[in-house]
Amino acid sequence: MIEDLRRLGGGAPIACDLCLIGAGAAGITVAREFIGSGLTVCLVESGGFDFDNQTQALYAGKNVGLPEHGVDIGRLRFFGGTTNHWGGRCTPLAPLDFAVRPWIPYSGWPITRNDLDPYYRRARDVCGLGVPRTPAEILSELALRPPTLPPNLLELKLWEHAPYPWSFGAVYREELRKAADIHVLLHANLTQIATTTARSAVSAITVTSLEGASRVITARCYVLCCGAIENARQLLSTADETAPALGNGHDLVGRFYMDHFRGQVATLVTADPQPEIETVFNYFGDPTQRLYQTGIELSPEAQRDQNLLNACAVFDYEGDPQSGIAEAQAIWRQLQQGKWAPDIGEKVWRVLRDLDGVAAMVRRRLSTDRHPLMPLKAALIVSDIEQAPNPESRVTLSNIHDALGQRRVCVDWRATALERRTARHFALSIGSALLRVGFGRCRVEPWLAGPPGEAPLGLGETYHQSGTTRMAADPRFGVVDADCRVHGVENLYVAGSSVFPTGGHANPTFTIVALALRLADHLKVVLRQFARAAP
Amino acid sequence: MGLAPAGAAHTYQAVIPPAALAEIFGDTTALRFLGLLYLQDQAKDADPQRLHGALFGGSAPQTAAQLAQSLAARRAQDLAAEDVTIVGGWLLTRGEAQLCALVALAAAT
Repeated sequence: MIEDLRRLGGGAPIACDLCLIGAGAAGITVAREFIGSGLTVCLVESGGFDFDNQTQALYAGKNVGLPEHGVDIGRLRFFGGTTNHWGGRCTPLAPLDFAVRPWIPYSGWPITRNDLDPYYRRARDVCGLGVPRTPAEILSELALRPPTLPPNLLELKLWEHAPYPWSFGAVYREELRKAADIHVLLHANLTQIATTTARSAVSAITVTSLEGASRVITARCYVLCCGAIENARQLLSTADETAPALGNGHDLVGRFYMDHFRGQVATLVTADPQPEIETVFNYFGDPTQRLYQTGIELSPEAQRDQNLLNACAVFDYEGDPQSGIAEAQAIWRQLQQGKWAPDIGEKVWRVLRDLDGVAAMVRRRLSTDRHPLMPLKAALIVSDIEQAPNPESRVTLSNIHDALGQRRVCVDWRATALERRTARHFALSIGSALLRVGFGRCRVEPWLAGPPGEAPLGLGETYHQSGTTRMAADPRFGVVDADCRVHGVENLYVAGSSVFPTGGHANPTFTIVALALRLADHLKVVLRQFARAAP
Repeated sequence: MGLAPAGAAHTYQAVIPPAALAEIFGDTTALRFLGLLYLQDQAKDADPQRLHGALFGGSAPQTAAQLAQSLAARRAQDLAAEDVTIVGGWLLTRGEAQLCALVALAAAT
């Protein structure tokens, strides 16, 4: 059943077994697991079925951290949530991503990849991926023969893609509409979380439409599924003069805010008119229209040996091959004592190509007359770098209020030196590997060219917000426990990437869905225990 | 730029015949350019004798074929050891950068 709070209006409290707040990837996935379960679910969503500016404006906030960050960009506040513009790239977190890595402060999940594997398998159906196949089977079917990458340093990465578009709101709307035990309530914004006197449990929530209609919802369990920034905001909003916010007894809610750092780390330039690299690292479709993408990732051994974060890279073949030439010309202008010709940039490229020719034992006599400058092809090497958990990177509440009277967020996104060091090491490793296999020569981005610490991080955001209600077995180190339950609050849970203690390089949606399936299994057990205990 | 020790050109020209360089690279302007950039960051390499030893050991190439073979072998060795550097934004193997530096030092005197 789907209703609109604006039309439903005020009235008696809505009672249910489970209240899910937010209808994005996490909320919809949990809700679907309860269809036909005999338990009643209320799934409340701030928006309607389509984007509207007034609702989206509730996400606006202040940015005081890295300038690349857009607080309300990337997140979508209507049915389906941010999956309404999801690119569909799916891959699980790697086993090492879950481990305590001594070189990365605050790393380590209280669960392992093995714990999540059964849910990753189930997440495939939710994300439209179909029957699993091994990377070797997929590569064989696609007839791909990747180059040999340096062992223990770089590895081929294969991503699967959900069918596009795959908005959870569009894909699962009719299923939820027909489900008798699921009550979807649209235009219902969470405006209050009421607790028991001891604040050890949530007693009710209030939802309000922008037009002023309001309802109280009571449930045995509640799950915040609003995204990493909003989950923190809603928890922080529960603080009052006498008590800290729910889950914030150790001042952790909103801290450890993370994203993936994405951007160009290098440009590969080649004179090959039909570069072989395009046939290996690219998007590929199979006969059943399933889409894959290949790239390169840093091996676990390299992460351990070099004390690095996780990282991956893909290739974008729309780069400007002349950009390196322009850069050399700019450097030439700075060499005050040099008497260089204005075409030094082109000469540099030519000599680099000749060095490659030397490596291939191809000796040629070179002159502008006999060997005109070749058309260059370029590939941008675009990397996603894991962000190191950092307590100073955080979401707090500002003193500005939104249309519903709630305090807006203030986001202070911060990087550490480790992200830049990882990006530089990764770029040089890829450049060396591609040079070795004869794919071309790399020009490293200027912000990575100098020694460590010399230039700021030249990467931007990916809208993979995470980490603000991190998972830890010990409440001193995390907001939720291994079951995603808020420490100290017996019936309040959090779903979504806000529970990630670390984020690897994997796009988060696939893991959000796997964790939501795992949470749903846990909640079924808890709610049935409640039911048995009830008079 | 104050990089070349006195006498460097004499030593250099004695061990890499300019004709061999020219046959492979044609105009060596860009080699010099990259070499100067490399030496700005790697002052310890501003020693032609040391560079020559690092590049060729005891067997000085006399022909373009020998030079190419020597450089190719050194590049493979550098890549296997991940010994690369960034010069003017470009990724070069250590040996490639040292060759450029050697040419720059020779030309500077």
